[in-house]
Amino acid sequence: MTDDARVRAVTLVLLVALGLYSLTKLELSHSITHFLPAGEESELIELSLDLVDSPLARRMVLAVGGGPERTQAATQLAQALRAHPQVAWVEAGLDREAVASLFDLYFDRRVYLASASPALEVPRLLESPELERRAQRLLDRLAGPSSTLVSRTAPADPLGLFDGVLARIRAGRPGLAGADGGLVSRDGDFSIVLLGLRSSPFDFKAQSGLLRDIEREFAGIGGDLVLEQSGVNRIAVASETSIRGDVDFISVAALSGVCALFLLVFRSLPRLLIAILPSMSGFAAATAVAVSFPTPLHGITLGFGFALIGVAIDYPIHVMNHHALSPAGTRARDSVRRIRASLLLSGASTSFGFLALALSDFPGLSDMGIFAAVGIPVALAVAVFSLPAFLGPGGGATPVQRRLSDGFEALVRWLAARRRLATALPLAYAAIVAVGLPQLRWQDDPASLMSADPTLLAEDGRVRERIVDVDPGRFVLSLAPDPEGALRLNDQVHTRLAAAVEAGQLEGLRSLHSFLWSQQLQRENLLAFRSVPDLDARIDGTFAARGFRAGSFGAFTQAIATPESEPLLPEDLAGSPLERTLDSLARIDERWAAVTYLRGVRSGAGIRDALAGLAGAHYVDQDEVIGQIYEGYRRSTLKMIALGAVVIFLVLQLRYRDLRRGLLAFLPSALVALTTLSLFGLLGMTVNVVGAISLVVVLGMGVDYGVFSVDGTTRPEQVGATLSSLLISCLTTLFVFGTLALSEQPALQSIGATTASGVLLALLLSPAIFVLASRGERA
Amino acid sequence: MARAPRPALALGLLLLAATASSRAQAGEDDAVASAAAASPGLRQVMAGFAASGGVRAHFRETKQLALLDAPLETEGVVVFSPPDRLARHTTRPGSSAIVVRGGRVALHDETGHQVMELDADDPARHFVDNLSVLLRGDLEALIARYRVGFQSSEAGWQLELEPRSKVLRQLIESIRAEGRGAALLRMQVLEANGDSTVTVYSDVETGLEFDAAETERIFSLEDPAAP
Repeated sequence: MTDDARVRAVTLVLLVALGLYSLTKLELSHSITHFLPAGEESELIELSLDLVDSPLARRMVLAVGGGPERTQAATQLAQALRAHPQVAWVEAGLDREAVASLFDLYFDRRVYLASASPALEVPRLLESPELERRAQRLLDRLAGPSSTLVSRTAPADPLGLFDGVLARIRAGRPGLAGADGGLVSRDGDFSIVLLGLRSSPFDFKAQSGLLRDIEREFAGIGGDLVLEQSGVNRIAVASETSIRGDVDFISVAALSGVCALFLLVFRSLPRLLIAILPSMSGFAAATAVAVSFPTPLHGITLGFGFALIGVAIDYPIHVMNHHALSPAGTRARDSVRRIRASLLLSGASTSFGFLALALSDFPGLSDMGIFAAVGIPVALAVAVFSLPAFLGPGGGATPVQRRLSDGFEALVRWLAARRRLATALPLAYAAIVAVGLPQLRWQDDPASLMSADPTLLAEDGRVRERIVDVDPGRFVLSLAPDPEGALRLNDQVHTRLAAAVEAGQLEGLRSLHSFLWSQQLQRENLLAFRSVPDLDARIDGTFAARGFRAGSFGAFTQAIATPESEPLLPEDLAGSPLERTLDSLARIDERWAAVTYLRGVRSGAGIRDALAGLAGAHYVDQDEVIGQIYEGYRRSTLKMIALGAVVIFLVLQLRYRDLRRGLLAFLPSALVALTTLSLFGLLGMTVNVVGAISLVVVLGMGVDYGVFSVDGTTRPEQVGATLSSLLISCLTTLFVFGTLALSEQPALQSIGATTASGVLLALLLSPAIFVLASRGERA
Repeated sequence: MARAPRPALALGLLLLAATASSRAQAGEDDAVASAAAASPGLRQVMAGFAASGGVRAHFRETKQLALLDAPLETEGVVVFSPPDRLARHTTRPGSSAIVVRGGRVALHDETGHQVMELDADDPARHFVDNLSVLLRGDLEALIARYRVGFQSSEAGWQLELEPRSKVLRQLIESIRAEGRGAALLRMQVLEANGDSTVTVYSDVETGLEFDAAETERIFSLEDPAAP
């Protein structure tokens, strides 16, 4: 076996071994907490993000309209979906038994649930003017259409306490026009079915199957009726379908482009496999190192880490192009030796630049930096030491390679004769930076990263409006060590938020308080009634004056003296028609949270003010939280990029020991990164966190262009090979990353636009860098 | 303490008590178990209903309730538009309304406004079905829902209705409707707890046709208090 064969075998065996090792040990994490900033403030963010996959998100609203048959169709649809494996529960209305069970649950507890502020309101309720008002109201109701019911409940409830309880329940349920009927939209034109999802709304496979089945079931039931739907799962499935479509298209476009490029330039597809060998090796090594740590590797670290190590594809392209353009019969190791210094400098500065990310406060970003900083040197080592074993003797450049090389030589000669023009190019970049950078606008709104079908969003909005739904992602958490504590806090939160509604800071809210109060508050109600010694006489006297028969209301005072039930507990709601309301009482880690969902928040600050002084009560706006995280990431990324740029600059200065040459080698990374941002500013394009992270790729690749351009001046006879290698690298990057700009998804677009612009700007600058760096070098 | 009745059942009842209004015609003594066995007089009364078209009448209602020392009196207007629109507007002493339209019912009184689907609530649907049956003159359906007794004399006719449904029987013992010729003059509802409601109708107009604007005004399900 020859040495080259041994190297090839060892390289491939190591690659396979690392791959297998990584696969067997790989444990991927998808926890968002890994991407939260370190520190105490992250706890609330973590809690709030735990609720991203909350019961509210695990819910669908189906609205059936278009004719009087809608009620029956909705009932049939609900019945059909009850048996679906992905449906946890279905609610389509309250039948007779359900209403009866609510009556059983609440009527006996009407005294416990009389007032949210019993110390204040119960004494007022039992004063003469209010008792007289209640007596008159009872009289009016007996005269009205509901007298048959009222006459039966009045002896035990002359004050109408149960009406108050029912009104709260009615107001607390979505899409319910009548407490005793089915779920209907606010306008009454749609019958409503609520579905609980068994799987996460982001589980593509489960949700796409369910959505298909809903459509199919309705097609068999609905006839000419209309079905409109709302649910996080629909948006998630549509987005993922769009992304998958994009990725399929882009993958084909990218692969076709790269294959065509290698066929055109190298006349060989195997060269493509050789070219990706170093990057694959670097990725396998970095993954193997990452999976050796006890904490699981995060999926995002793996994805972005792969992209960062993709920068290493430049190294084999330089090796292969230089080798092909070398004299016939040149050994590959000799071709590599000629550019080895450039390769090592390029790899080292890129690695150090990426390593700067490791200093980020954000664990996820830090991991990406370490991951890439491990992978790049391995990829470089494979390019320098193993790659020659895969290449035959030199020479044999294709006509395209020769033409490209000759063309660049001619371009450099032309530009060298016009040094002012060469000087003007980086100055033009600087001018773009000076004008464009101040105009740059950052976009940290998480919604800006995703593109959803506007028709779907409009339908979602219509359905939510029909049931007067709460705003997704805006809620108040009442945190306490136990459920009773959470309910006690929730009682106070509700009082504050009700005042906020009165004050117009909030349109409405959906709270567990509509259905369940703390035991403490319920007992306070009972005690407040009991503390009135002449209750029986007061009621009897006042009501008799309005024409009621004396002694009619003994059942009420009896219920206060010896209540028919204990206070209502969370477990009493389990199995009742209101069981779903317990979704708002969630155990999060070691604590309990009562969640109050909000509608029409005018200002987050106003809600926070309303909750001031309530320890354990927190207003959360998930979009705001995620926006803050994105902003934090973006700022940290930019800081680390700046730090990385400084490190790269120092490495280059250390290598060249010449300020001017070091600076010239540095320009295609730092200046290009800034110019890219500035161009976006000039074009009015906003930049998001993904764009910021993509700048790291630009920085890593840009340094290759600078180093090879400056180092190329030491072997001017190879300037054509050097610059044509850069062109091939640039085109490869454009096909691999730049095609992402074709995506409909803003996040992918951002990666594509940033990377493509960056490498193009770096390539354009390279001949000028070469010319400017040539001064004083040997011809 | 005796448990109060379920609200849903009560809903059906309150609708029944509130809206069983219309007119009838003469006949003779009868206890009917099937439409085929119905007397010619009963058939004639129901045929009269079927031919009556839209109806508007003033009503005065007197309730004898165990809770009250004295009877409670109310007044208002009841309107029916075939096949399924019904409105009962009370004008004294307080203001309240029940409107049934296209499978939905709106309840409005001083405590608020509520709209619900009839299909979602069995008792309510039963009641509206029953009422529609009566006002449409659907004898077969009437007999399916009630044990029907029928009497007639020179002075007029009397219809005795006893709910067949156990659910309704828990609340309503019987309904007696009295009339003369094509006019319903009096209706008495006896409740299972001994309370009773007597409604006397006057100024009965039949054969009415309501244009779109009137229909919207009389049979609107919207909250009249809404801005």
